[in-house]
Amino acid sequence: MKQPVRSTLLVLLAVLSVAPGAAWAQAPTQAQSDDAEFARIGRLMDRSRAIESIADWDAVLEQIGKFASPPDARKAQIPDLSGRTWADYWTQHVMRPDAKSKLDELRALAGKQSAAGDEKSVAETLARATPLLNAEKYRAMVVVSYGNNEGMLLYHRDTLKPWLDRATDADRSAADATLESAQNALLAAFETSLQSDSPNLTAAMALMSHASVENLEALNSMRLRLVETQSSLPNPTPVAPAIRSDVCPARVPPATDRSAPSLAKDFPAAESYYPRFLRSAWIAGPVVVRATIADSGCVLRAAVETTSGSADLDWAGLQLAMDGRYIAGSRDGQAVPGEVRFRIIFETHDTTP
Amino acid sequence: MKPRATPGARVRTSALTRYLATMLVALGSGTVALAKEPVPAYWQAIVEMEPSSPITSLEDWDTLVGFLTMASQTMHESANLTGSVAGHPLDYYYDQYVLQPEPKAKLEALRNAARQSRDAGDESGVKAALAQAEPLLQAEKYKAAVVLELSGYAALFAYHRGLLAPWLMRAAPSERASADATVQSAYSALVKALDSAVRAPNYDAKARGRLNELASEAALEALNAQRLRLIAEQAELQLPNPVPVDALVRTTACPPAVPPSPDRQRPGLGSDFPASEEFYPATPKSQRVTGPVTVSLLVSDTGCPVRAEVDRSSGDPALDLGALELAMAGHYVPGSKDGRAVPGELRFKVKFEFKD
Repeated sequence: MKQPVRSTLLVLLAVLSVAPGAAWAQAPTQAQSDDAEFARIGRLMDRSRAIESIADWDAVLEQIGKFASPPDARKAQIPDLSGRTWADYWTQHVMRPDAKSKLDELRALAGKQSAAGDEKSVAETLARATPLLNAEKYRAMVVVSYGNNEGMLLYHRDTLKPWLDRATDADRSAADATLESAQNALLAAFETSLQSDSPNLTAAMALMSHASVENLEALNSMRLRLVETQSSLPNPTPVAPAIRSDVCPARVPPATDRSAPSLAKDFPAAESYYPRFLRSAWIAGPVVVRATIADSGCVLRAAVETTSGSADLDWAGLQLAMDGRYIAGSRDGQAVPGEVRFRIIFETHDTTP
Repeated sequence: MKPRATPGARVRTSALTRYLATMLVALGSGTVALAKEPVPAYWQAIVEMEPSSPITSLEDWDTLVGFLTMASQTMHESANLTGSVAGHPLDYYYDQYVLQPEPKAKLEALRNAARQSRDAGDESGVKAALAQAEPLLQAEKYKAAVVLELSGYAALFAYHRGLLAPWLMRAAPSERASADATVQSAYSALVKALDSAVRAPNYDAKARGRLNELASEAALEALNAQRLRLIAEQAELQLPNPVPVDALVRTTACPPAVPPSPDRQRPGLGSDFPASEEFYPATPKSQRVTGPVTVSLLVSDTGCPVRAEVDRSSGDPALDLGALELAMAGHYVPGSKDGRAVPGELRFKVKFEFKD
C-alpha cells in the first residue's frame, strides 16, 4: 500500500482548502483555492510564533471564530460519522471556559495598558498570553485538520451513495465497515494529537492523514468497481456537457493523414486540472470524455462518456477537455469537423517535498 | 433519412405500407427498425390484381391461388405481432373468410376439369371452366385484399402501441389500461367493419373505405397525444429517454463561413430553413406518427452545424432521426461577442404533423 508523503505546506493547503469558513467537506472544484489566503492563515496560526501585538492577538481570535462558525450556519450542525457536529468539536476542544476567561482577562488588561500608553506592560501581557493563545491555536488547527480528514471520509461516503444505492447488501456493508474503521482510526489519531505532551502540528496532521489514507484508497477502489459493474445503468450523478460560447483560438491546419480530429501535442496534463481537495481525498480515477471539434480545431463541446463516479472529478475532466488544443481531421484535403474520445486519468501521486 | 418514395407506391392501396409496418414491428419488437426486406411479390400481386382485371388463363388462376395460400401462411406468421385483435389472432380472420372448404373444393374440381380439357386438347372446355371459376376467384381475391387491409390497419395501432410501450412501463397502470382500451376499441370497430366489407357485394369500395375510416384519426390522435403527454411528464421527472437516438456528428467539409449576427450571442436559423415536411421520414409518416422533436444543435463560429442531438424525443426514434437530419441540413448564422463570431448551441422544435 502506498503511503502519501506530503510536504507540510501541501498538507496545510489541503487542510485549508476545506477549512476556511466551512464545516466538513467542501469540494472546491469550481473555484480553485486561494493560495495567498492559505499562506496568510498559515502564518497567523503558526504556534511557534509569539503574539506580536494586540492586533495579532485579535486576528488569531477572529480566525478561530471563523473556523468555528462557517458562514452557512447549517453546516456546523451536520453530524460527522461519529454523530458529532462541527460545533461540538469546537465547544469541546477549543477556547474552553477556563482558557477563555483567562484570555479575556488578559486581553482586557492589555487593552487598558495600551490605552494608558504603557507599551512595556502590554509586551509583558502579550508574553503571558502567548503560551495560552498558542495552545488554542494548536488545538484549533488539530480540529481543523480532523475536520479536513473527516470531510474526505464524508465526501467519499456521499460520492459512493448513489452507486451503493444500486449495489448489493454486501457492498453496502463493506462500505459501512470501511467508513467505520476509518472513522475510528481518525478519532484515535485526533485524541492522540490533542493529548500530545509536545504538540507538533505537522506530526499531528501526518498522524491523522495516515490514519485514514488506506481506507480512502479502499473507498475509491470500491467506487471505481461499482462504476464498472454498473456501466450499463445511467450515471446517477451526470455532469452537463460543457459548451463553448466564447471566441475560438486561431484556426489550425488539419491533419492530412486522418479524417478524425486528434489531440494537439501540447495537450494539458491531468495533473494541472486535478482539484486539490479531490486529490488529497484520494478521489481518483479515469474520466472518458468525448469532445466535438470544429474544422478549425476549435473545441465546441465536451461531454462525459464514462464517469469516474465522482461528478466533481468528471467536471474537472471537462474543464481540461475544453482548455485543450486539437487538430481537425481532413477529407480530400479539406478540414472536417468531428469527434474525439479520450481518457483522462486523475491519479494521486506520492509527493516528495 | 431522406424523404423517399414509399415502396410499392404505384399500388393503389396503402395496404402495402401497412404491411411493411407489420414487418417493422416484428423487426423492432415494439420499437422501430427500418424495413430492409422488399415487399413480398405475391403480396403486391394480390393487391395489384384489380377486380376488373379478368382471369384469362390457367397461369393467372394458379398464380392467384398460390398467392392466396402464401398470404395465409404470412398472416399466420405475423399474427403474434398485433396480438389478439378483438379476441382472435389476425390469421383467424383470413382463414375464416378466404379459401373456405366449399369454394376451395369447387375451385379444385373446376381446376381438374380444366386440366383434363387441356390434356384432351379441348380449348372450349378450358374456357368454360375458366368462366365458371372467374367469379369464385375474384371473390376470394376480394376477401383476401380486405382482410389484408385489416391487418395493415391493425398493424398501425400495434405500431402506436409499440411506441407507447417504453413510456407506459414507467407510467401509472391506468395509463396502460387506457392505451390498451383505445387500441382494443379500435380493433373491435375494424373487425366489425371487416365483416360487413367481406359480406358486401364484390369490390365494394364504400365498404372498404369504411375500414380505412376506422383506422381513425380519433384513435390514432389519442395514442399520439397520450405518448406526447407521457414524454412531457417523464421529462419533468428527469427520466432518460428510453428509446434514444445517437447524436449526428458532421464529418464532412463545412459550408463557406457565414458572417455572424452582430446583435446576438447565440446562433440563429438561416433564412432558407427547410420545411419539416421534406424530412418527415416515410415510416412514421405512413404510420401517422406526429409530434414535436426538440433538437439541440451545436453551431460552429462559421455557422456550420456540427452536432445535433435530441433534447426532447417524439417517442419515435425514426421521427427523431428525421428531425436531426433536418437540423444538420439547415443553414445557420453564428452569434457574436464583441463583434467576433462565436460558436454556440441552438435549441429548436421540429414539428411533424400529419396531413392527409
